[in-house]
Amino acid sequence: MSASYDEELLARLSQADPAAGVVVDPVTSPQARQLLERTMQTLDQTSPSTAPSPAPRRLGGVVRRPALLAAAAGLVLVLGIGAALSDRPDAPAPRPGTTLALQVAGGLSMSSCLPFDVAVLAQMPVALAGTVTEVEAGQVTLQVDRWYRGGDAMRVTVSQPDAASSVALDGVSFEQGKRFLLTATEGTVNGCGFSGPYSDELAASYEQAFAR
Amino acid sequence: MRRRRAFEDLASTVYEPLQRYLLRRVDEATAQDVLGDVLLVLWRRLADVPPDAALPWSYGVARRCLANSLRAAERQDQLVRKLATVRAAPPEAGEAFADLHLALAALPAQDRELLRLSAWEQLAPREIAVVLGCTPNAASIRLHRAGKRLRRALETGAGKDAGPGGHPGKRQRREAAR
Repeated sequence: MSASYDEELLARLSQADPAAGVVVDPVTSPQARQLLERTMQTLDQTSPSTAPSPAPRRLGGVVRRPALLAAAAGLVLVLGIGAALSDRPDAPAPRPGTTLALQVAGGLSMSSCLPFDVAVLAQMPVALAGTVTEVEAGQVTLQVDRWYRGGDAMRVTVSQPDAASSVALDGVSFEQGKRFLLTATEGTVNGCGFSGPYSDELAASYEQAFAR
Repeated sequence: MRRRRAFEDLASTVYEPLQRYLLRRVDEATAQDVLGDVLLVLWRRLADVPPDAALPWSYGVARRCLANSLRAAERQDQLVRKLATVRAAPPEAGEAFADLHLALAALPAQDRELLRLSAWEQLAPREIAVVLGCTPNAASIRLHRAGKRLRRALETGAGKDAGPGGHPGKRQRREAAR
């Protein structure tokens, strides 16, 4: 007998493939897009000890495993507003004086918002407060007045890829002189209430989330 | 956002085959859960994915995620329920393959996986080696032996009395842990 096993048996076994004829979700389906987007918005830096818990159950009633739940719940960020902190999520923090380039994702984002939670906010690897100093088509520059986490650049640019329109965050336009609180993950500015115009309430949440 | 693009590219290659891989082994709800885990691992380990063997490598991730899932289920004392949902002989397979599915279910786990990877995922031994983390030569030899054991199981009607989990006396080889 050759190295390949029983050809006839293999052929018969192939015919017994339980997935033959089973229609699976195409990668272009809304479900797939949502799952992929959720995956890409997952924090890399999260260690098990920092994973939020308990995690909510998914619809359907079947008991889900904790690891996935953690992913589906707390670790997953919100709304695909993208920021190019760098191509590598674990890239070192920028040096003082340099500009940190962030992006707001353009186009369609299938991801949905998580309810705002300080525990989730605390997972964000990049958090800062800054005031808009310049507004151009598709890009704004902010002067950072405080780094809560993940950098020490003096300026941050936020741009919207493939869009000449004005940059907006959750529908809020970056206006000159306006102060914002921003968090970012994977080069992505997080929306859904995890970033936004400066307010005492949001600032208090930042204080709580990023307290050392 | 090069990383996102790379992940999208990978997903377009592996997303559908991974679903089939999982659906061949567990029920739909578990498959869906594990798929999420697999994607998460692929996203985190994007830099490690071998460009020339992305799919077998992803199957390897799926295999480990699935094993974790089943272990977790066991811990939660749901083993019986979980095993009951493993597709031993799905209805669409029909009567014609019932004996084959039973014989397959009676084999040691590693044999079963080798045979499935070959017959269902249509992988060559060198690709199976990527999934299992062994050498192509070892994959080839093990596949050959697994085929012989399946043939024997079919001939002796094994599996008709045994539940999933295989022959009680069949010892797992040391490398079966891989």
